[in-house]
Amino acid sequence: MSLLWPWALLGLLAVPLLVWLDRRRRRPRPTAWPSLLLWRGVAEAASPTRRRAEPLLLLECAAALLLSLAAAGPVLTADSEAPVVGVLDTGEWMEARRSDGRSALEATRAELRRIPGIEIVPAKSDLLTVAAGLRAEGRRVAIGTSRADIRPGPGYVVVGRAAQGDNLAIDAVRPRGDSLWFAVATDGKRREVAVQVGDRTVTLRTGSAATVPFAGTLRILDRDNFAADNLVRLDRTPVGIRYDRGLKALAAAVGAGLPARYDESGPLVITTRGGEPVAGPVRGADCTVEAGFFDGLLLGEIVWEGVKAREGPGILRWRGKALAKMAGPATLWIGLPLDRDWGDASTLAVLVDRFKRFGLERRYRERRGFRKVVGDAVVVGRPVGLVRTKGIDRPWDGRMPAGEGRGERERSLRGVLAAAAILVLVCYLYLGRPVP
Amino acid sequence: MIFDAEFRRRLEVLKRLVARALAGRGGAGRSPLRDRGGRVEFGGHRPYVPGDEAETIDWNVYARLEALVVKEFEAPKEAQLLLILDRSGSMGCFRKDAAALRAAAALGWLALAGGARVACASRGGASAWITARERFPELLDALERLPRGGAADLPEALRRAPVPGSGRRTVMVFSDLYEAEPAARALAAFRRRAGSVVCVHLVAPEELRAPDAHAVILRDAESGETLELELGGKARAAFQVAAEHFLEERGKLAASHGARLVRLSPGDDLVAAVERLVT
Repeated sequence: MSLLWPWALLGLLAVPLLVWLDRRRRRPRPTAWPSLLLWRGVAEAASPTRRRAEPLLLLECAAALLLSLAAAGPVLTADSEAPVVGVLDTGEWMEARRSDGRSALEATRAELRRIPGIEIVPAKSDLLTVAAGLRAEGRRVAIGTSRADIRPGPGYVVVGRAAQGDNLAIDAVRPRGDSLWFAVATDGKRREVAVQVGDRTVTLRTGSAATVPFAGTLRILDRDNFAADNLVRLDRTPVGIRYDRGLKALAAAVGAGLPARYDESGPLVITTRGGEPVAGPVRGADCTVEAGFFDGLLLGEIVWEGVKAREGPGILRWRGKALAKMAGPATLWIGLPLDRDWGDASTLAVLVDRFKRFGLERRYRERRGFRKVVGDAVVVGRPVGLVRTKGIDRPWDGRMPAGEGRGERERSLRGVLAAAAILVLVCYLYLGRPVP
Repeated sequence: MIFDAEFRRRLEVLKRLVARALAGRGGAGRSPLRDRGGRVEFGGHRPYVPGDEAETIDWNVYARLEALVVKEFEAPKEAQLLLILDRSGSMGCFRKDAAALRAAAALGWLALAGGARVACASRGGASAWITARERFPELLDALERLPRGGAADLPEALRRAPVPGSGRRTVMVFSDLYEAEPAARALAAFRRRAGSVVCVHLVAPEELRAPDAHAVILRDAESGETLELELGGKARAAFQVAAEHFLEERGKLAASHGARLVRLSPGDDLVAAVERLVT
């Protein structure tokens, strides 16, 4: 258990104060007596009796104790059954140089390693299936590369840069019934993507889709059909944003115009919350932008169901709000890829800097493993939720965590304690009421 | 106010009731405080002078001495009631002092009504003898003016009391008798100087029972000493034993000095209490 506001425990000082006040109040007042003659023998015969604590005093102390603990914000953390995978996108944009000379990738790796429990997982592991919360058996896998066929699911899995430099991505992962949809994309010119599914290798052309039985392992292979040895990022939880205003507002906030090839009806896939995603923009309050693969502008969003979008320089703000509400394991990633239309690393650095100027960092709370923006990437994870698979040097043991990974990883005890304190106070008022 | 109008009214009632009670016991018309029998006292001889009644001539003396002398007789002597009051600090608790004063005043009233003379005294002062019923208010004033506080000193009260005259003397001591040794000395002194001694033992029910509180701090009303106690079952039982022993011992004390002990509680009915005292 940890405490969010430990200083509130100072309220426990009220307990000895209450005891002292009670003793002072209950101390008898001297009573005049004709003579102590008869009492002298009594004083010798009397033995100290065990004093029972007054019930009201006990209730007072209990209420003070509970209120102090509640104010301290105790949080129970349990070993997570749900994996939270912190991944690092190693796309080209991560090569953007920071002011300290380190690339975004280098800086982010360093930050990741500082978070206890986080381990960097190689792409060649079964992390994909683990992070997706999918069970190995009985799933059918559909792999498609066409945006039209994409059913963007709970998140994206992006496999970082392959050795040849293309940014390969399993763009979406979504269980649907007994099938698993994957969207595979690339920001390069590759037209074929080899995907290993279980013990099979499927080569897909971009724009096509396929459904295959899922056999437990999903890996993106590079041109040579070797597993791309990259770090894997997994986005899991969606947050809602308004496409029609959010993206434009963001672009306007950073002072960047939308690329010339920006097309509102372009590749952004929008879906109604909880419903089937459809291609093309959908306007309205219930819109949820799930996909953010846009020409030159890759927005890996975490889409959180249930959070209404708000405008502002703002997608990130929404993320901040969403972070506060996230109940499940999540990884947040943003970044701007390098794109030929966007310019080089310096442009990226400028853009990132502008993100920061809009209070990007402060809109996140560092809360038990959530990290602030690091350079141009935000890596967020709850250490307790991390799949402690293995590090780079250690092979993953192949165990799959149970469950989908939904639900609270941190349980705040504040509500319980506050309710208990209120109950104690009610008892106190009832027992202490004047008796006619 | 101790001697209020209600008290005085009850004195009138008291006189009738006590007289009626005494009549029932064969002492009609007589106050027990009055000299019993009503006889005149022989007061000696003097020489005969013309005009003396012949029946007063003591012929026995003439036969022996051939001198004419007459017998002289003294008038009946008044009964005397001396009220000794303990007005120490302990008597100030639980209204014992007021009860003692009222009982003393009631007895003084009866004594005056019966022709006796009454005086009161305490450690700090004393009154003169009051001899007429009409002067009863003086007795009340004297009782109220007796100094209060401090420790009981009954022997000192006796020293301060007015010199008794001839006649039957009764001493009534009103005290809670917490100090045994001084009380014993006082009772012995009273006995030497009085025909009868009545010890009115003032005891309040509250002081014979431990307070209901779990813990108490008791302050001695005379010395100011304090005692802090936790009153568990053992303590209460021990106090009960001590209280019973105290009462028993004081009864023995009075008896050993020839004094009659009558217990009086502040809540007792005045008439019943006085009836117990005079019978």
